[in-house]
Amino acid sequence: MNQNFKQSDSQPTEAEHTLRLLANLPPPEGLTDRVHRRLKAAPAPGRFSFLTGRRWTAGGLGYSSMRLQFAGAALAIVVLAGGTWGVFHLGSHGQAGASAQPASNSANPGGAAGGFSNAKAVRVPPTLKPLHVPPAPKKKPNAGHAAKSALKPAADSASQQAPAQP
Amino acid sequence: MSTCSAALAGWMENPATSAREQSEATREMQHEATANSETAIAALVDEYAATLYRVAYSVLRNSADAEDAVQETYIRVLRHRDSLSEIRDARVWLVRIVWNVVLDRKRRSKTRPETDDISDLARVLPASGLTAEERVASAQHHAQVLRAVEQLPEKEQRVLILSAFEELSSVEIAQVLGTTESTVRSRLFRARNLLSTLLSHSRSAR
Repeated sequence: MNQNFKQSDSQPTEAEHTLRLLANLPPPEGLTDRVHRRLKAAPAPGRFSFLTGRRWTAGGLGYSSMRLQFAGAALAIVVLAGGTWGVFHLGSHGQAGASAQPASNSANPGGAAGGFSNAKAVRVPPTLKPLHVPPAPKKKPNAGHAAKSALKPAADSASQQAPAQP
Repeated sequence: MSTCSAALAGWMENPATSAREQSEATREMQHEATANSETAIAALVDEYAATLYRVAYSVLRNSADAEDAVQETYIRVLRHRDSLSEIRDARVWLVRIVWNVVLDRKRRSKTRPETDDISDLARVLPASGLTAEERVASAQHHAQVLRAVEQLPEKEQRVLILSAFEELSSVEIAQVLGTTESTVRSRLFRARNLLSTLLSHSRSAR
């Protein structure tokens, strides 16, 4: 460990001796050779360089990776647009032909065949039924007055005939 | 006609020929750069493979896994060989790469129990000049310390492990962990305190 590091911080404990032993364990023999061999066997990073933006030449054509990327993107767009157009037109033609309609139960509102007979029932409260009220009789003008005057002498004669009550 | 073309050839450049020459020159330069970078990587392997192995082993505690981590580190370096010249401190850069590789591996193999390996590991640690009884006692002590280190919080544990490497200063540890030097110091202080507390607890429990 760095000397400055040791002095500035608290002193390394006895327990850290174990970690230092662990950190100083010798590497296995032939480690560097094996790493060299592995690196030689590793695939060259430039093999797929056209995907990473490097220049790629084939047969003197001189296509750059950017051109290839643009071509790929354009192809993808064309395929996608064509597919979408086809699906759209298939859908629009299909609507003109046979289309599946949901089965309607209106022909059989009672639903005698099925178990859900009241599925579409709409309850109408009886108060909403129109009440038939007979039209009021038309009153003639002064008819009330005439009736009153006709009743008055009869009342007077009745009071005269009745005996006086205690 | 032939005289005309011969006269024209003197001042008119053939575009196909120039493009071919240019591509050949580019290819030669690439070959040269590749050879240079391969030489540079080979030098890095010779110089730092042992250090990287020890860093990997201190975390993984498995020889084969540590070697795999070192190889993976150099393969990552190979992928960035074009930018090798931009690296200021190759040692710290490599330690940082191997540290990330090791942490990735450890995270992936979290389900595998490691506690059983500690006793074996304690026996592997050098104990020269000790009697058989002292060796057993030393192995037990090492195992106890390693178990206590395992119990430390992750950040403190990492700083403590890296501080055991003589070739890494606090500034370099901070660079490897992506923190500041003061953070490294405070974490190390906390780690030491926690470690001594854990060890005293385990001794009193006996």
